[in-house]
Amino acid sequence: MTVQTDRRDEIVDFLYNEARMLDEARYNDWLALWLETGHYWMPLDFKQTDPHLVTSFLYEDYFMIRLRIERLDGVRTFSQKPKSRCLHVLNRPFIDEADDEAGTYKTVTAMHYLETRLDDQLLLGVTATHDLQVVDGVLRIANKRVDLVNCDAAFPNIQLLP
Amino acid sequence: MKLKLADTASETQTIRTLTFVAADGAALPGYAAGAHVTFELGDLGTRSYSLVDWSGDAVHPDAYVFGIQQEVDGQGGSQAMHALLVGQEVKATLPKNDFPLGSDHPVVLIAGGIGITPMITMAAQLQREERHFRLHYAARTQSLAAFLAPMRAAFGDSFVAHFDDTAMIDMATVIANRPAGAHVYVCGPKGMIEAVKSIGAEAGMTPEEIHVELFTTPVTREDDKSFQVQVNSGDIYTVPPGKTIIEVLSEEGVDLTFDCQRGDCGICRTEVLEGTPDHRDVVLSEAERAAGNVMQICVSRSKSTRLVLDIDGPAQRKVPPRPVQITAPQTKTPTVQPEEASMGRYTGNPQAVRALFTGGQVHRDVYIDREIYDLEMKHLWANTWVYVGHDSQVPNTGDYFTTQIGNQPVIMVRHTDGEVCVLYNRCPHKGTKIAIDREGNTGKFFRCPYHAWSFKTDGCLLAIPLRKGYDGTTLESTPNAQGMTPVGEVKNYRGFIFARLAPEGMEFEEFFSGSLSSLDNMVDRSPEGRLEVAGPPLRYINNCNWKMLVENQTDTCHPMVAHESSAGTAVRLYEEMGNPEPRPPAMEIIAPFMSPYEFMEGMGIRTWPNGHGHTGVNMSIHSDYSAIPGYFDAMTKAYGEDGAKAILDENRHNTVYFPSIMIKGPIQQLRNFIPLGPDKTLIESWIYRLVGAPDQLLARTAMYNRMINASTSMVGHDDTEMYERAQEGLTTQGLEWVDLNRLYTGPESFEGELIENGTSERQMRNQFDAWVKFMTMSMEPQMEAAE
Ligand code: FES
Ligand SMILES: [Fe+2]
Repeated sequence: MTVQTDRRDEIVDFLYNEARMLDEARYNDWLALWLETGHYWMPLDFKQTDPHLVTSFLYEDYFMIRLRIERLDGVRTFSQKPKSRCLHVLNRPFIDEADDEAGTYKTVTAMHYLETRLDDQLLLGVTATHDLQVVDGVLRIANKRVDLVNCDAAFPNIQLLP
Repeated sequence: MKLKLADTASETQTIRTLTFVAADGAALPGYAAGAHVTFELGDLGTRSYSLVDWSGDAVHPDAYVFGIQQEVDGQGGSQAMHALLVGQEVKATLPKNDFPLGSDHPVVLIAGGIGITPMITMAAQLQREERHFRLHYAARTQSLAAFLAPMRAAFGDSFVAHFDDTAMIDMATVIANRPAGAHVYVCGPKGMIEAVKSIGAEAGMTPEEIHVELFTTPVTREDDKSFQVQVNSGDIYTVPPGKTIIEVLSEEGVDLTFDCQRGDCGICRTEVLEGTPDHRDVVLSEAERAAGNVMQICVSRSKSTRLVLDIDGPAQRKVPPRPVQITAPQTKTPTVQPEEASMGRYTGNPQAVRALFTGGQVHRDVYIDREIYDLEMKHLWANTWVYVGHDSQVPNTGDYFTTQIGNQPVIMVRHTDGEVCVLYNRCPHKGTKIAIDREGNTGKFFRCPYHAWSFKTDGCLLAIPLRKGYDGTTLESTPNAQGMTPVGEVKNYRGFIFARLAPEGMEFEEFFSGSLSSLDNMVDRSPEGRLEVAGPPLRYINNCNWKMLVENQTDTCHPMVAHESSAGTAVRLYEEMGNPEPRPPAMEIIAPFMSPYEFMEGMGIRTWPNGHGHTGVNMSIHSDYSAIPGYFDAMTKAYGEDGAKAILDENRHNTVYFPSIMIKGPIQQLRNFIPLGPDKTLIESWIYRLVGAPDQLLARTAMYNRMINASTSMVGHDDTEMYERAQEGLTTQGLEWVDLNRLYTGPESFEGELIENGTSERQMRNQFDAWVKFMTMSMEPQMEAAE
């Protein structure tokens, strides 16, 4: 499915770097990747198409994403004492759509997402779909959608970002 | 006419293409799509096969082509066809067409398995005539599907294949997506044909728009004669050779219950009032056959010229009255019941259970003790009215939803009479769960996947294959012979289905009394007075006792503390941004959690008897939501301006319907607390559409649900952390009691309705008062029982 683009390596590096920022809790670097109009969407329903009239896990605008990051470091954020840690293990990304002239790309990346705190560890199979956009010569996240393969299961807390 | 086999080719392991020419070399008669030829196979009788034509124009065919599947357990006809050698001749009729293609409508073709053969011809003709069509081909697996490549090549995008093992055909979608005015043609097994007929009818298709052809002919015998069947209405139908009673009656629109159509499941059993059946099933016992007053109408025929059948009789239709008290089998009463055998401190000891609640404090055993938990499941969750589901989850007959009442797996199902029934999800045979998918449609009956015992949708036993094997056994005298056991009682309150497991107990209205006003307010917020479930629920697991969650619903002293991390940070961020307008949605939903103590005090708490109560009597954290254009107008139209105001001025926060749910009227949200163990609870958070209201209301509801209740919700993380820490803390030996004394002024009564300061823990005490009552009401004191 992967299509041709001049930015192939750049896109793949971008996705791996993004995951690494999350794994290393460099949230301000990560936030800087986002366009402020973007949404971080994690659907609840299998193959969900509508983020508005059906519940989702997340459909975060820029304010919510910022709030989430700020909260992780809060003095009275008791659910983060001790802090959670996470790990993204990425498959090779597919570049499904590429428009080098407009600088827009759609990628699909399957991954294992691990989140751990104290003695608990959660493993999720997820597929991340990124809409990327070149702004002033650099790639940014225009939108991101993360689908859980077991979206209809009952979950414990998922406190970081898959 | 005599046909000569000219060529054969293997398509799949079991399907071969056979090409015939006229034995005398003459030109073959032409035919139209849908036609078949009947072969005469000597002792084996006759077999009909559809003609396959890829050209789209079979007016002057060079050959007759058939796709024939070898039926291993058939009567040998298909084996005989496969065994023909090139050059061999066989007698056949001229093409005949019982399945013609109409000429003036778009067409949806649906084929199952070998039923593809007439469809190829139809598709080819439609393609040639440049008419709009779509061909859906369902096969069990890709390797069992014949003609895939040539069909893809010939029909391109008009052809869609579905495989059961990867992407099973979704008949409802196929039918929903048909073009306006389309006719559906279906050829395949009986189940598929029935599915298309019922889904088509639901989708508003008329019988004329659905054309069907069964690819297997019923077992027929040379000497079968036609006979007449008279039914209750007095109507008389003729059943010709080659057709079954079910086929004839169904075609005439008579509604019957049946399944296998092979004479072995027993479901189509029907009373015979007059006439002599010719039994061909393997279900009925010799005695039943001899008596001659019941028959299986799928395969059996008639020895007399007329049968009079009671198709409204008990076997086909009416539910045998279920005895209220199921009599247990006559076995020796054991001296010690299993429960007493493993008795600990609390079993059979209502005194000890009562002592766990002092009025101002509660003993930690109610949260951590396994024996208490088991007793809760047995008594409290059986004696109370527990929420099951919403009736919009099961809109059509046969729709079902599986869930739990306490720790009991149940099925909620729409019965054929339109009522919602709730049954224990357990086969009376070996215990197999009847349904494990969360929702589905079972048609007119449930069929156990293990040995095919079948049950009407109110649980009554319908049939057992080879039932004669139980003649004279003890099965009949046991409750197992009744079918699936229904729960004690069910109530549909304005779409909300509640059930009480115990057969006897408090009535619904007495149990909930004035608390129903909160449900009323939530439903009244729809201009049409109706709610519908919107999408799947959030499902999350908390490692704590279910009561911690229920208590937290009216705990107004925790938000500004536990949620400071989320709500407090939101308020701070917003200030740092300079309080921009419009407010980010999070500020509307999350920020009110930071409301100060005075606000919470002013909100007020109201309690009702039996453990129910709510926060937000005067106003609540849901009061300050922005108005949604068009909504108030719609409400005014429905209720008048005063009526609409009265409904919308109620902004109740959380209403607890003890023990199982909490609802938020202004948000149309319901949280269902499902106990999984003393320290494990499953929570399902459902949302509802206000029928007739603007979509923005539902959008806000969905937003609330994900921001506050998802496993990924920051507010949710705050709460879960507290419950789970409490669950762990309670196991310490430091102290044994949990405190509920806030604004407690000594012994209190929970009879009647009372409004108090919003920070009172009275509602938690109310819950424990009810807890004691419903725990002990069915507990036999051990000492008395022994006497
Ligand atoms: S277990 Fe259900 S039929 Fe045997
Ligand atoms: Fe809370």
